[in-house]
Amino acid sequence: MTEFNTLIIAIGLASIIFCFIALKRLISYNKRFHLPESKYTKLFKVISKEQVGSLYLLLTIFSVISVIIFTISFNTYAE
Amino acid sequence: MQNRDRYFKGQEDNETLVCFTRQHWIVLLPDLIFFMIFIAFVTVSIVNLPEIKAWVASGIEGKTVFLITFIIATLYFHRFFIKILNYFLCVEIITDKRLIEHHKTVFFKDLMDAIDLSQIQNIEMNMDGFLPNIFKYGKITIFLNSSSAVRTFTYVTNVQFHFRCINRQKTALQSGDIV
Repeated sequence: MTEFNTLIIAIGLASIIFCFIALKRLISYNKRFHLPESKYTKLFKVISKEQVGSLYLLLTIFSVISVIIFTISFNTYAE
Repeated sequence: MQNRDRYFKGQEDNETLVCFTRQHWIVLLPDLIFFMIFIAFVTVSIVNLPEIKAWVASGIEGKTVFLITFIIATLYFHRFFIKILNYFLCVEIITDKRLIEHHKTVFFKDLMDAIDLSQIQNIEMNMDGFLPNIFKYGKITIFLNSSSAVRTFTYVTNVQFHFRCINRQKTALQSGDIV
């Protein structure tokens, strides 16, 4: 594995860790503030913060895995 | 009544939650537009993946540009989602006794400010402009009677409803309906 690959994987891991920390803080906020949500308090009347959090986690993991696969595949391509 | 910390940390025993609100989604519009451009850029990159792959594999310049682009894209991606989450954490809570403004961000800020409804002298609502009237958002200005202090809440969603709501709670409290 090249240094370039290692760097990409390290950035990807840091990205996932950052996402986990942000979501952990959101969960701790939810424990202290359980205000009754309605359609008037949601984003565009439909999107809740839990949905945004889930999307954030899924997209982070998906993008990191995609970039790592891409990096490994073009190294194979180069060889 | 045992309402202590029932809906939010800091709620008093004899305090009842009336409603809460967040800022209007219009505050996120510039970020959403830039994120659409970002998504378009990513889509174009995915469509041209074979060419990008060949270019990145060709030499050190390609790899450097790819690395820098990846770092910038990752930072922007996180910044966008943190901003959306910050939007959800900033709330204005109306109870039968207080008007509470909670400005919080995921990482850096946690500011809670409460205005006693009995201290309010006058409330002013302002829906000035084309977009505020179309999307029903606006500004609520609260004049306090203890001093010349003025508090302004901007981009209030459904501003007419919240204006009426604060006014009714203030009138009820000042006329002694709520003990």
